[in-house]
Amino acid sequence: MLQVVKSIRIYPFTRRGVVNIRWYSDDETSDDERKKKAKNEVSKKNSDEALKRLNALLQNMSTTKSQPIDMVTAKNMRQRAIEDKEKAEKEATDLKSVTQKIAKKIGGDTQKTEAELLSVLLGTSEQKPKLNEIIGGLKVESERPVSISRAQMVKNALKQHEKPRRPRETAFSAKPRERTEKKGFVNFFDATPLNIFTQPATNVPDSLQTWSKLEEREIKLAVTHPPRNYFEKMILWTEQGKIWKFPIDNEQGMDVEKATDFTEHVMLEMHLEGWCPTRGPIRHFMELVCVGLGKNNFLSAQEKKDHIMWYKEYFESKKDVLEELLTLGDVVEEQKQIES
Amino acid sequence: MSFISSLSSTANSLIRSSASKLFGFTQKRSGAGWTDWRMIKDNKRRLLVKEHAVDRLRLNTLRKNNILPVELREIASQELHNNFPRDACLNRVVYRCMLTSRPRGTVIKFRTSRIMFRHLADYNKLSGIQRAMW
Repeated sequence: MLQVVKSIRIYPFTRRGVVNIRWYSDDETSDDERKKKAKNEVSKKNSDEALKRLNALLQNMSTTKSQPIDMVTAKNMRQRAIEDKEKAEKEATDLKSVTQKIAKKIGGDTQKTEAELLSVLLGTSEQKPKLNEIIGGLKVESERPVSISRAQMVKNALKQHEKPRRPRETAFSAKPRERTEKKGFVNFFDATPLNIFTQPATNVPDSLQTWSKLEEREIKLAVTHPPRNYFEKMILWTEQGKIWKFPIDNEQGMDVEKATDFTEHVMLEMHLEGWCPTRGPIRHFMELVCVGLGKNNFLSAQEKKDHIMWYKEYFESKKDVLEELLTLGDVVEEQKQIES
Repeated sequence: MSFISSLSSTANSLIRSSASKLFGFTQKRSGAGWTDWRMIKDNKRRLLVKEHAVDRLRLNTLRKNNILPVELREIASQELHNNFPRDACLNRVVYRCMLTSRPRGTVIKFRTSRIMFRHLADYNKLSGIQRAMW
């Protein structure tokens, strides 16, 4: 047993002149070693704990299924949508799966409900449970909403507005377009006629003439050309009668007046024939009217005639009054004559 | 009439036209519309005058004579009084200036007030009008 000298201290200037010697046996480890050991132990403890924790974590992680991250791309979304649709369709069409779902939703004895449903649907049951009851009791299975992204929706909308692209017509690509096969179109001429309307429609003229007038105007404008220069403008105006024609005729535009004779203007007593009395105040009055009209340069022959006719109508409306007056007048005249 | 035609022709057409009853106000001295309400009312009166002129004349001839019996004349005057609106009378029409709507001091031949007449004449807008000098 070697005695390991741990440390020696010498105190030369003390009385003792002690040499301090510390002894340690072999069994016992040195301080440093001890410290190290302690450290190791501690670290070991820590590491153990850490390990345990790690393991626990890992275990936890392993239980949750780690999914790969799907990057959302347009293609991806489209594919997904298609796949989803297909899946949904399959599920919907597949009787078994449908019945299973329904049974699950109802709850209780799923197998029994399944069997009943199937039997009912296929029509092979003995009991024949009432369909109405079953359907009434069933919950409506909502369609799985197809999740389309907003970008996709916008694209679809834009596509709808796009014109349908036809393949370019080549020499060999002429196909007769079958009208009956077009979507959303109804062919009116395929069905047998009902023979309700046999007579062809007659064109009833519109009470509103604006449209037809405007159409006429448009046609006229399409055919006629506006005047190219001022000369053509002047020509147009002369034809319209806005400008004097050469040689200047003072009576330009007075064609109706030219046709009427002067007798119609001056000799207006012919219009008094038939209705006007031959003697009396009215005759006197009307003759004066005729004289006055005969001297009038500004009225047309027709206007003069109308003037006289107005008086005729007026006197006829006052006939009863006039008769009274005139008979009285006659009486007065007679009395005067008698007196004189 | 040639004097008047030398002025704004649109104003003339508006005054003469019987069918159009435009109530578009314009600035004074433009002559392209109605300067004020008085002008519009005067225009209404003129239209009525034109409408009833012939009938009124014929009735007046019945009144203004000493040949027909008195009773008939009285009946005619009653009809004139009752059967026609007051504005159908020519006396009610005012010869306003067509530019400024001035009721007094109008030169009837040019349908303008004396002030506008002077203004236009000085700027040589009136055909044949010249400053008097003798």
